[in-house]
Amino acid sequence: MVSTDEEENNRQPPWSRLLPELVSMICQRLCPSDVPRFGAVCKRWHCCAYPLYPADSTPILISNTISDSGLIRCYSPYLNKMFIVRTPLRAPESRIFSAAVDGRVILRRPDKTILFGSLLDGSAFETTESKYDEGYFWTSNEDGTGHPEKCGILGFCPNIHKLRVQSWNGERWKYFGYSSDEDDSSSDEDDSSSDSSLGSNSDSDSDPDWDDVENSDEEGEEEEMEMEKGYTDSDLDSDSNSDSVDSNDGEDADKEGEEETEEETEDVEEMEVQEGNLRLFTMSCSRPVLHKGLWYFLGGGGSLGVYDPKTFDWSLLSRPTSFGSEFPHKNCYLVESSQELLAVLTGRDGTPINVLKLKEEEMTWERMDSLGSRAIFTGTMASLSMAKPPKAMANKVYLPKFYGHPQIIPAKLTACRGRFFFVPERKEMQQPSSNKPVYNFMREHDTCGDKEEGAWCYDLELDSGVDKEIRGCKNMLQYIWVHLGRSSP
Amino acid sequence: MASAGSGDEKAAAAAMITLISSDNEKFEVTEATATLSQTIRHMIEDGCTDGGVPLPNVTSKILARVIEYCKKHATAAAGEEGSSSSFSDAAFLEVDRAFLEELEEFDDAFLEVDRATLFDLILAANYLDIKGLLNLTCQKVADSVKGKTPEQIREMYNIVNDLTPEEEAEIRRETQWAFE
Repeated sequence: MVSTDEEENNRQPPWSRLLPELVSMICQRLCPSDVPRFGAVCKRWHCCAYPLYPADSTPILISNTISDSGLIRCYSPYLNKMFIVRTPLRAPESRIFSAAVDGRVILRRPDKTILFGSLLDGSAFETTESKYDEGYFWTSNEDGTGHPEKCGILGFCPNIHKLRVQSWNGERWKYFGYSSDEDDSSSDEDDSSSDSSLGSNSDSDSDPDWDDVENSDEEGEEEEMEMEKGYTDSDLDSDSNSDSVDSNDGEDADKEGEEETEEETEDVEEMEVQEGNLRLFTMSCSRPVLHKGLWYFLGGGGSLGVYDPKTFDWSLLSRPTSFGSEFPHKNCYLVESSQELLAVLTGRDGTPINVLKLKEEEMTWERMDSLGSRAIFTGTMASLSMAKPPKAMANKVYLPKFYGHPQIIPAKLTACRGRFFFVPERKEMQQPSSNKPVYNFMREHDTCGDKEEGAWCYDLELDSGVDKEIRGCKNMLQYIWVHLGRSSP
Repeated sequence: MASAGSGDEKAAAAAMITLISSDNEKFEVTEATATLSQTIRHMIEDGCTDGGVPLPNVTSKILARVIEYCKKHATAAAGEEGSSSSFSDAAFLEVDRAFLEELEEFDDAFLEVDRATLFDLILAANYLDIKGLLNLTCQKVADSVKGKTPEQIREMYNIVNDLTPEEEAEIRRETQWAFE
């Protein structure tokens, strides 16, 4: 008996005592989602497991530009960490306005094209040049397949009397200008660079319908270009021919030029969110939201404009007329959440915050006492709602603000089996030694329970009279909410 | 005197190296085969291979397997080099692909071993510094734990959980997303 036992033991090599560098080597060949479980096997293996963080468990704030050296900042309110992500994607002078599945971001380029670029491998697809630039709200309408050619891009320029739409349907740009007024409609302005005055520079073309600009324009627009020609695989040199990136974002005041991965986030200045001040149908700073097949535009006071992409009808709704005088606010944001249209009103410094729901039978705004399990991420051009966020985030409204100094982690974005991860670039982690427990490192930086650190949020469950301290918060200007790996809005 | 290299008549003319396992078995292999191991390559460069190369960390059983791997991959490498001169580009690519496929099949079959052998192969590949073999064997382990829980992995590899309950709870809390 003893001898067979011994034999048995002899056949069992001491995997838990495998050299740390070999355990690490094995670990590095795992899909990231397997790493935490691998690291929970035993002490030795735990020390060799590299730290990583899910990038897609909630929306994140992403800096709307990519630095020349390919760095992009991603703040996770869930983890309260700032990841400086190194991406092979290059898009100088371009602004991110949306994210798509497959780790893509969607950017506007200074030459009036739209770029779909992968943060993962840098591959990119660029549309042909669109006609107009200034004064447009840009949004994507993706079907979730991740094929850029299937992803619709819409640029909206709303006004009381008309809405102008530039739409990329996967092959070419289409332009649509509609007017409910007598003579005022067009989409064929010859001047392709000064469309910001809206409605005033109309011409005599009275076709209120979709206007396929191809061939109709003596400028020789490039709409007919084959889509394939738009593919540029990372060959995205800036031609630096334009600095009129946009005038409408309220978030584009200046370019960030962060190069240093270790630098503090002090450059996130404490400034008020700078938006509003828009001439267009007193449009709020929130971009249009797709709701039940219609695009809704939120006016500053609570009015709504609606655009039907099927009939191309644009109308300002007679109701609701306003949010109501009991809800003074500085900014308001529209978000679609579980088949409901919500407006988030924020005060001068962020608070007070009110979440109103559109009661669609009466077309009135009604204050919500609770979001249930939902969380809302707002305060940037794009707002997102998440139906089932991590428990601690339920029933809360997140603005692009945080307390204290979140840990800054240089990281790579990787994808595995449909999920996205931040994998820290840590040289010392590549040569782990058995006496450097990772969990100590992680514990050290654990900020849970510390009221002085973390993402700022408004908790609807708390008494609404409680004015959460917002002073000392850092505002994340030049950032936008995206949900990596998922289409947005 | 099992001589793994003896069947290789044509290569016999090339320089031969004698490898000596921990249980004192001698293996004669070509230099091309032996130098897949960076460790042995350095020894050859330093001129300390006369009288054989003692490998006190590798048993004859494992060394035989390692040599099997090295011979295959050395042959494949030589074949690729030879083919490049005598084929057109397209044909070369074709041959290239065939080689790769064959090599892949070989690797798959080569890895059909029990976990104890796998363990020893990893150690040997590491000691002999054979990058390809180390990659292959580590990948095999990585693939085997794919989607497994810590408990399942421990059972597979006969590992005793030496984490305290507190540590384990902490780990799970930190990486809760991975356990859901």
